[in-house]
Amino acid sequence: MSQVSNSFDPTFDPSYCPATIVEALKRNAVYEQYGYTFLDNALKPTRYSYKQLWAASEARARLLMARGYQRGERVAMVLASPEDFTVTFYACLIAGLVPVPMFPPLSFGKLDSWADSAVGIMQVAGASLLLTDKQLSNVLWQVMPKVKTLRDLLTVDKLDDVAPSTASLPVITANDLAFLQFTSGSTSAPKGVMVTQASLMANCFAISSEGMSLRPGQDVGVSWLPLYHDMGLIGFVITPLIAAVDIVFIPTMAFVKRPNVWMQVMHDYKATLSFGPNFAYALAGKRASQKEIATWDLSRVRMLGCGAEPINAQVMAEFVEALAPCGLPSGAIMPAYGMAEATLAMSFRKPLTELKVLNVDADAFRAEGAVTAPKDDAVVLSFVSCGKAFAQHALGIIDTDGVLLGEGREGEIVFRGPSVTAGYYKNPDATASCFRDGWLRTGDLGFLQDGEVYITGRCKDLIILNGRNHHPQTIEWVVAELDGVRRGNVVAFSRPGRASEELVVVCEVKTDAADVVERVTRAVADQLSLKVSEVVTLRAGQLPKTSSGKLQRRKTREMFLSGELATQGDRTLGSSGEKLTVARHVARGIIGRVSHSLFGNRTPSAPAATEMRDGALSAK
Amino acid sequence: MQAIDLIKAAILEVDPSKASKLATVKPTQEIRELGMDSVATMEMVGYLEEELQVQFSDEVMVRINTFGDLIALVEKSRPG
Repeated sequence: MSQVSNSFDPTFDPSYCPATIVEALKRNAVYEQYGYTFLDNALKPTRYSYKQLWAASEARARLLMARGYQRGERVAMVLASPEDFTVTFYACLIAGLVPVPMFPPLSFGKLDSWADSAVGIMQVAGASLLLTDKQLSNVLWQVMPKVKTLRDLLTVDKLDDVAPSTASLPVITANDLAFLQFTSGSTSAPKGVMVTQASLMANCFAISSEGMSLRPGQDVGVSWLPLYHDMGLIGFVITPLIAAVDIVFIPTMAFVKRPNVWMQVMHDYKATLSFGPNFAYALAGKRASQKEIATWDLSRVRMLGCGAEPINAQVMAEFVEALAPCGLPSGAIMPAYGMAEATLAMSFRKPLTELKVLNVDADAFRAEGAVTAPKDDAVVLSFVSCGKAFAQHALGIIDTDGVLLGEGREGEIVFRGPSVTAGYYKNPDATASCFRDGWLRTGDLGFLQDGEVYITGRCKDLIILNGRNHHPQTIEWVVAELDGVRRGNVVAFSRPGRASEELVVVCEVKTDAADVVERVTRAVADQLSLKVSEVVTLRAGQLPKTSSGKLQRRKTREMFLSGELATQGDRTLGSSGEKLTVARHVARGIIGRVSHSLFGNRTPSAPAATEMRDGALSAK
Repeated sequence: MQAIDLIKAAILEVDPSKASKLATVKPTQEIRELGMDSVATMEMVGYLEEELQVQFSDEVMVRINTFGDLIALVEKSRPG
């Protein structure tokens, strides 16, 4: 395997923040000893030093320029290979084009719904060009006619069919739009977060310097995170440019298929850093065998960042304990908080410190949103600290009137500073509703204590499963169509689970309805590729509603978690048919109600839905 | 081992709670009907790849819908 460099460059100034990615790439072009290593599915490496990376990206930029694409035009990218993705992404930036990273279709079937969401993104972005690879081009040609702005679909292996442009490269400035970051989730109208060169560099610099203290020659990062997602792209492709550190990329599917490759590669490359959502640590901890643990050395690790979905302190503790024999430091897990609208990250905990779990009195917290020490015998809620806001940035808490609250009070988390987005692309209404008095509204609930932020829930009813956002309505609509279900009387929400959140569907059913639990589970799996962990069936009138008859999702969820729901209804574990006792359920709800850390548009997992239309792909 | 038994073993490896549903599985049945999420599904594929010492391409993967499709893929991928 190719060995990454361990020599430290004394002339490098990590306290300098380049004005644009292009400047950072160009500056790093002097380094042959540092760079990116792309592993294939068999973990065979292809290495690009920063010098080679610049050369390859510039060459590809000139091929794009030669095809007549003009500065500022949007280029949709559906590229599964991290190597293709990275070089193409940088090529667009060098050529002054605006890349729009999109997720490729993965997993079994369901290509139709994937294609619909891809079309939606390209329409909003007004993409002129669609870049993909040979494998996926068959699938993508069929969506081409649906996007009026698209002039061409090119596969990256055919880009060099033209002579490269010899024109001078455009001058990229801090105010230029760098790329569009589409937030995931199944909404009808996707929103593209505008990432400018300035906001991007501000956030990457804060992560690199304050968050991770990256140093060239001393750090090696490993990432399996998908590059079409902010945590993978900004955290492990762009941020490392600031300090010219070494990064090793594992194909996402290689990790999902064989979770052990993550720590194996960390060992092989003497890695110091990695990142992942909660579910990934649960998976990696569960799959590591005693034999592997005995051979891995993880003693150099100083940061395993955790974000993008609620953090389960117990899962983290079990992961650290399982890998302690490898020399993994006990404080390696580092909670972080962020979102796409803040470019990527808003706060990091200090590296190599133990998880900070705050226990608060449940009664006082639920009644008044007040953070107080638990009284004797009181029910306790535990929340995990996600650290302090970066320098030159601030986190605040507001009440429903928009008034800033002091410490120890729960409200909506707001954020401001140079990392904050300029807004959503061509969507002034969504942009306006995203800000209040100069603060970015996160839509998350939480509180501040000693300057550190604790996330307690969400204002919106977003459901996050394996790092991917789902709007409850899309799930409710599917269930509402089923025979026996009282239309309009369905509520979907998530409950804390061990590895990720788990999906719960509550519905009112007609008296003669049969097999509702099985049919709900099956319909949601079939149409949305989501696993329903529990279906609760109620009789007419049992779902909580407002006086005007509107469903109350939050209240339904609270009643479910506290065991007050479905006193007369059936309660059945949807997937296995096991009866679930209320007591066990409540216990689980309390244990699992640790805080969560949201990291941007949160899509580390495969897309929720992909479907294959008969004959859409040729048989061979 | 029969292809279907290998597939069942792979599914049980990633989600033991599917045992009762697997007992009655038919080739015409869609794999999605089991109610596994996409991460578990890909983990199952990883188990099969390891057992068979092969790599399924993404393009092949998106064409799999039913157990019959997966059985055919496993049969085709077996050595010999």
